[in-house]
Amino acid sequence: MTRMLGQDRFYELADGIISKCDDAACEIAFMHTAHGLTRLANSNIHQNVHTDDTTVTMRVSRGNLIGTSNTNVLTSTGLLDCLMNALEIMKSAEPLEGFPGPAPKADYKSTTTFIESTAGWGPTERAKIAKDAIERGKEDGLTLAGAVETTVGELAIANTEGVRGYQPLTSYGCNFVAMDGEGDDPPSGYAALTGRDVSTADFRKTYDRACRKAVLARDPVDIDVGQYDVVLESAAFCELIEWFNYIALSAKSVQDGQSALAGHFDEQITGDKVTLIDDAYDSLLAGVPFDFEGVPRQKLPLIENGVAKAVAHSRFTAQKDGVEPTGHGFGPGSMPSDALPLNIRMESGDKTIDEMVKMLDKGIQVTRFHYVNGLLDTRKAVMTGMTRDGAWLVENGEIKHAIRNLRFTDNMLEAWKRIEAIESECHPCAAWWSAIGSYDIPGVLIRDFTFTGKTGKGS
Amino acid sequence: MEFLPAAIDRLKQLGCDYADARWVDTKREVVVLRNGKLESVQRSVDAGAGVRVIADGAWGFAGVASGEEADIIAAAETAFEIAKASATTKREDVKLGDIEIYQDTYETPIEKDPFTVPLKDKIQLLTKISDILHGHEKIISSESSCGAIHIDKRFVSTEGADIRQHLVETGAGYEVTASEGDEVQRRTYPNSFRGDWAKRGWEQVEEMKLLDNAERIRDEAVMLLTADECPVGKKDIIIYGDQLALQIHESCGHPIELDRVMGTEISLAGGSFMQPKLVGNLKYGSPIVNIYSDSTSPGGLGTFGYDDEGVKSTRTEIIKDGLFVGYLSSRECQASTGHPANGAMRADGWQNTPLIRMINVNLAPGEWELDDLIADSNGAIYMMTNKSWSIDDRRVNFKFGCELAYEIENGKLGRPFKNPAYTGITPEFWNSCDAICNEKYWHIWGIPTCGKGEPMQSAHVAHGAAPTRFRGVSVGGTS
Repeated sequence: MTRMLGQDRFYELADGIISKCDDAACEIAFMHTAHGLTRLANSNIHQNVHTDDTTVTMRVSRGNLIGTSNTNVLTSTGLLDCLMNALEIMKSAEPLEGFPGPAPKADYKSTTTFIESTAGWGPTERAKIAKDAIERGKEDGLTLAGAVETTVGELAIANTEGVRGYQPLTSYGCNFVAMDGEGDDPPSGYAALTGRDVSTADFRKTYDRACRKAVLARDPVDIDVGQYDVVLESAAFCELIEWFNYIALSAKSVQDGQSALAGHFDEQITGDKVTLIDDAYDSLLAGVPFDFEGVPRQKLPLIENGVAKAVAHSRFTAQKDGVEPTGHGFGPGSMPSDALPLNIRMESGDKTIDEMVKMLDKGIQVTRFHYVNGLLDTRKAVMTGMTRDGAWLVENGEIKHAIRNLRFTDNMLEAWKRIEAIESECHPCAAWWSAIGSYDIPGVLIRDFTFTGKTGKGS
Repeated sequence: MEFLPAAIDRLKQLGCDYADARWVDTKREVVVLRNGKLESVQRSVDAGAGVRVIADGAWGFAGVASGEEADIIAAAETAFEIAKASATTKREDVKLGDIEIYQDTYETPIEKDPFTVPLKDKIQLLTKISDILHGHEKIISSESSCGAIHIDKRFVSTEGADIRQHLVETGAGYEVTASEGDEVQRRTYPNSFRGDWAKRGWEQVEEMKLLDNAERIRDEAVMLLTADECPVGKKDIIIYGDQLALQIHESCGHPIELDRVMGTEISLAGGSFMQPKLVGNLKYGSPIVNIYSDSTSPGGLGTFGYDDEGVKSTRTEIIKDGLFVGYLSSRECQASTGHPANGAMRADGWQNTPLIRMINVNLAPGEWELDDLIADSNGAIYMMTNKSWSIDDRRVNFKFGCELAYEIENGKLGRPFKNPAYTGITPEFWNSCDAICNEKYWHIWGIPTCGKGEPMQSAHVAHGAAPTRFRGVSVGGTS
């Protein structure tokens, strides 16, 4: 069981730091993470780890002069050294015009992000899931790989304006890849799950799904590249949304001119079926009600029916644009301009994946993508990536056969104009910040999605 | 860290098969200017202990951010319990290959400790760069940065190893963005994604000619706004060293990680087409392609004394005269495959268990002068500086975007092209290599952001490369 430091201890540490700041303003963020992860491959646990770490980041400022320092040495000497480092940097710094200083004290809504049952999990429980998955794979002669993980965390913030925030966190996640046979490219299937309450997790359903997909992926064939109608399952579509978030949905990317939204707010930039909302309060993984700067997290309509509406602001980028901060700042541990939506949800539709597959005369169903990259032309959201772990050619609404992996390259703003149907259910998809939030994304049917290459012969 | 041996003693008492313990104390400083304003100076300290155990024939690992003896011993006990849990699925006992056991110290050779350079001097350098970058009305943003890292490590094991290392890394770089209407173009120097890093002191930054190149880089960004789109089709291409470094990284460096080859990364990063049966048989590249791993390359970001399981740094042939001959390996892989551990087991800090990671994976220089190569390449396209990257989960089908390209006309660089990209199949691509520039143009490019593993670990690696020509590559724009 992870030893929690608790709200009182964090506030006590924060008060101690603030008392030594002289007349400087100070923002403090603590992040305690106890992370356990069990990895399996070749139907065997090959890596099983646990790490416990607490970092504290301090940003001191006097007017527009800033100094930042962080440490994971939480002794009185370690904390004092960290503060002295920040103060020394501040004294040598050049002024940052427009730096707004610490956030004012605020009240935060309550969100439930800590579940006792998840906090109680350890290596034995994780190993049991791995073992059960391996046994399920044997039923179909499959080899299992993947990971089972749990995180227990605490986020605490404080500043000299009286901000105090504390949020305990738990999350779990798993992913499974089932493979049929050996060699460098066996047919495979994938499924994943993430959430806060491990007692409600249906692990069996998840690894069973990976196994069924692997069986369906047997005997893949090559197909020609070109344009195909596609049903992208949530894991595949989430890869595209995740990249779109990185390249387009922060105020920094707009202010730098890199975002597809730059200069196009209140304009239709993509299909009217696309509505993206960042909402820490109505997410499949409840989010944290404040950001790392202490600003209450706002519900943020990012794209409404294809119209560009908003991006995530820190206090610094908000001041630059003359708007209110949205509660998405990364705080003292990052640059003042860093902010990003962490709880993105796409509005769901009214179809199941099977119903969307039946809508394809000739198309492809995709489980997930690999190594998507969205930096080719960020203003147009051009992305490329490969299919993996299960893709199938569909003809007349029926899966015809599995196919070998394909590379797509397409302009997402244009492709999303061709979204014809959306899954009725969103699925929580893990992000690297899954202790804080996740993506809630449905599957979609997109017409004329462009595949430009394949593995094997030619490209 | 004096308490590591106590953790090892405790694990011996518990009856482990093997254990090692590492103390890693990392100090960083990063200075960032955005749009001419000092946006961030950040100093950080990160210290802790990681304990790796084999018990009941299976692995366990625990890390703790504490220098207290009781906490480190508790972490060792947790690692032991985790190993016992791992053993519930084991197919066979983990075995480690035999290595020479060292008690030694190692320090990165440097001329000027980057932490002794006054902060004001660093800010002044970045400000001068920024002033030049913003000297054109079409520049809408810029970012310049420099950084330094000190890593102090100790490694001890149940086999008697005791190794202390002091490593120093230094780097810098900048990017500039030009815009007109909906057109946006970015250039970076000396490489994309925070520049170029090395296991060197501040002399690394002083030799980078950051100021000398700022005006050119700025003007190239502006030039790209009105440049033609890169043409589509099969073309000969010359790839400059900065982009070729990432090509080596993705299409050779990752697929030769033997743990990956054996399937341990299959669920996340994927597998590898470079299977053991292909060693000595796969004609990976043309006969002029020679790729080697070398954690002794002077200044390379992947250079150190010993890896994180106590194996001394070394050089290994990977591609010899075009033939695939070797892997990056570990003690566990040595025992299971016979490929000797070659100093490639590296962990991201104390928090993580070591994985097989790239070190310096270098393409040996050839014989060409760059001007001669360009003169010999009429109709080819010369591409430089990575903008985007993607490769499949077996490292076969890749697509890279670059920041800038030039058409080669009449033996000289001609029209610039924007949004250049190329795509290919790894062995076909490397077999189309027919000219590599000589050591005068060869540089080890440091990449401080190589990701692998769950939980994700970031490794600092490097790739030596010189401008190189490939024949008949699929080239196109990005749309």
